[in-house]
Amino acid sequence: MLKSFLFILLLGLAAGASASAAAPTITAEKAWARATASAAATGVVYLSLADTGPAGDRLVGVATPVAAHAGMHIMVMEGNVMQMRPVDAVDVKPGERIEFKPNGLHIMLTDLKQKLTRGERFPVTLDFEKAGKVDVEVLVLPIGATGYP
Amino acid sequence: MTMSKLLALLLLAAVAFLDARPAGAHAMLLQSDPADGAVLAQSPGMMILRFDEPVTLAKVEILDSSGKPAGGAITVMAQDAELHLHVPAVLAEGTYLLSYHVTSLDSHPVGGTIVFSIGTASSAGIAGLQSRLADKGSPWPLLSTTARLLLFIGLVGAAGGTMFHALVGRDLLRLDRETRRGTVALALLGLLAALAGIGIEGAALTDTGGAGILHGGTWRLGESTSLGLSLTVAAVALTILILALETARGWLAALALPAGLVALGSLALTGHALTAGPLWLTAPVLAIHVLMAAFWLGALWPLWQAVGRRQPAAALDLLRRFSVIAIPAVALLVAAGATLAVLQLGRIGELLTTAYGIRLLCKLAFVLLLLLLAALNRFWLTPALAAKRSHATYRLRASIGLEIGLGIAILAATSSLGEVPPPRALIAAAMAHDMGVGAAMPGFSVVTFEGERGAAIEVTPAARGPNLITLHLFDAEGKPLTPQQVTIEISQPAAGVEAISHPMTAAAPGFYRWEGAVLPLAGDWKLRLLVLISDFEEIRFNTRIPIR
Amino acid sequence: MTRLLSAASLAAMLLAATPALAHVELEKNTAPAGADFKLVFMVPHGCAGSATVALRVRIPDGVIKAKPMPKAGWTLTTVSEKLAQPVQYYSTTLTEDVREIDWTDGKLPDDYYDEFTILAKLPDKPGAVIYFPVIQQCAKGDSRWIEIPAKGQTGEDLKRPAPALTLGPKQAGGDD
Repeated sequence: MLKSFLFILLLGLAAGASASAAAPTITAEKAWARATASAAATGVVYLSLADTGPAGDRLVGVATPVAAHAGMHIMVMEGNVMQMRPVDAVDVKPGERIEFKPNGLHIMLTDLKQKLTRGERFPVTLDFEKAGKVDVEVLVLPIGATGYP
Repeated sequence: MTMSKLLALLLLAAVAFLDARPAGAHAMLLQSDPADGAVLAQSPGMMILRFDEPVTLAKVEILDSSGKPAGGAITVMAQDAELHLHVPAVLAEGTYLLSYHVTSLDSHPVGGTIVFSIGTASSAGIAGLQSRLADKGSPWPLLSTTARLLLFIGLVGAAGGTMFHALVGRDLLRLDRETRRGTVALALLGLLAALAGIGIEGAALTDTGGAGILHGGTWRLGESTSLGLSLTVAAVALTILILALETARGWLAALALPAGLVALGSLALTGHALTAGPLWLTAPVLAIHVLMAAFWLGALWPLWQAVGRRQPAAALDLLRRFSVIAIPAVALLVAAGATLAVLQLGRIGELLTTAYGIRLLCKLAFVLLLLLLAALNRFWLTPALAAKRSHATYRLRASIGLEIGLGIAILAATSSLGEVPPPRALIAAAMAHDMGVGAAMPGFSVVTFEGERGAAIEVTPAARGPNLITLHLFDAEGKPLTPQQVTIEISQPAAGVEAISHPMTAAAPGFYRWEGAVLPLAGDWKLRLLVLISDFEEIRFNTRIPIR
Repeated sequence: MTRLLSAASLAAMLLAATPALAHVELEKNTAPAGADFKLVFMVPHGCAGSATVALRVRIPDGVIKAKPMPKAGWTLTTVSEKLAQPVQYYSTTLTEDVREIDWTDGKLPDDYYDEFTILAKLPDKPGAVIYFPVIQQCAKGDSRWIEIPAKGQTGEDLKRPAPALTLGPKQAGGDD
């Protein structure tokens, strides 16, 4: 009786431990991109990131099958000039929500393999230091869109 | 003047003038700080020029809107592909022009100008400076190409000829007077072209007027470049070659072949090919390409002589011995050349769309013609000579003469390739331009948030030693923060480096920079920003930066 | 041997029990929630040996009707601001309240000690910790006691913590 109880307890603990280890604390959602006029343009993706875990994480890379190059950039003001700067890493603190939005952080896609058509969806893989690769589905919105509907 | 030589000269003229405007830029400027056309809030103590490959500075000056030098004695620190210019004097409000001349790894002079303003941009000031910027059309690029061509002809003729006599003719020590005189003359041509090339490079770098080439400083500058080094080695080797050929006896004579090989090898010390792809691949491949080309082209004149003057039997023997070595040599030549071309071109389409590609196509066309002629010689004209057909000697000689003309054309095309930026450099620069960022720029940037406010931190080059740290602080809407005070603290607790604290100065609202932040160790550094939003409110950003 | 050890440990404990006063802080750092409370800010020293010439205290949101105690030889100023949301104070509704109290034009040499007192009504939030950022201005330089610990940090980690007040349970028997 005791043996089987202990066995069940052990199983339960193991299951619990593996579940918490596997459960990702990073969430990426509301990912959207602007439609492009052709495949020669550059694409831009915006999204919302949050980390519910206790430790926080860092986004260090992005990739997508619809473009040869994807990179994080941010728009910053230098006097009267708005500049685009490359970004190698974005810190996501625990409990924080980070917004990639127009005139701020964004993911730029160059060498698009296909034109981005309004209404279609494509995947983007976010590479985090701790959480590893996290996939998010991006919805293509009309060219003039300013935010997730 | 024979037909083939006239043809070669015409081809040379055509190729050399394909792009009459001085084409610059091999190292390409990817980004500058201040950027071209920037309006700064205050005088920049330090300016940064970021190129796509390491460069050495030849000359830099800052001119004010009336053309007078400003900024004081500028000191320059080179770091990887960047130049950090320390401007000691405070520049008053107004528009300025930063003019730079650098030399890239492939020994090419590159120049440019950046217009920036302090305070408010004055359109009159900018217009005045821009008229000063109009291309003056300097003679140096053409002179440089010509000197290079003459050097190639001298090297190929003398060193390549020496290779032929040593390996095929086996009569290096028994050259007749005409051959010896001719070979020495070619070596002398190469020697003079090499020496002149040093001065021309210095003049091109400083973009002086014609008289500038007479200054000792110009020659010293040319000597200090990688091209200067290769030309010096070539000149010394050619001198030894001349002496060895003249002596034709004893230990000095034995130096002829080694000297010739070293002279040819000097071409591998500089040039575009070295900067494309990994050095362990490009340097040997380039050396092989040069040696095989010299052997093949250098054999043409001795063969022309042999067919004309010697008994057919002796000539045929020579031709046979030549083709035994030539066939694998040409195969190696083509393979090496193809490898170098692939490394230089980004896409096949480049062959038609870029200046470099078109010149390369010309060269390839000539090479193809040369191969066809060689095949003609081998399979028709030589056997015709052996069969003692009429006019065989004349035809074979004419064919070899035509080959010599094509050879000179090929050398001309090669020397003109050196003036034009190879496509891979253009691609990098175009990408950088499109993206508005430095594509190949070293450094690390991180964006971190504290509540609603964010900080974009960039450390360049994120390597041990002095770094430039820039900050952009912004609020929830992305607008720049204007705190009372910003202090940065950097530390590396793991290595026991205690916090180095530094107040940051604002170059523009929300935009801060610290030039000369010294990070003496590699590893992960902790970075803290203490931002005094108001008298009573301070927010702190915490992040980390990897330093190589 | 054991006597020596116990004497030594006693001495150590005694020494530890009286920590040197290094920060500008509140004499009493706990108070009942919702009470009218006398906040006493202790200034144990100047800025790196320089005499204190002014003390500016920021009244945080939720603390209402702050009244300073005048100090002879110092100029007293209160700065009021419009409240984001009107606050009920007994039978009146406040739309504006004191948010900053400044004692200026004084001189407290580094060798001397003084206290600066404010009477205020504390918010009705038992268990909360409220911070009073203080700027100590000296003849040479300033000390800003404005650091507020982040989530998971305690005041001990900070070099210049803002004086903190922990609110305890409400006390029975109102004050008026």
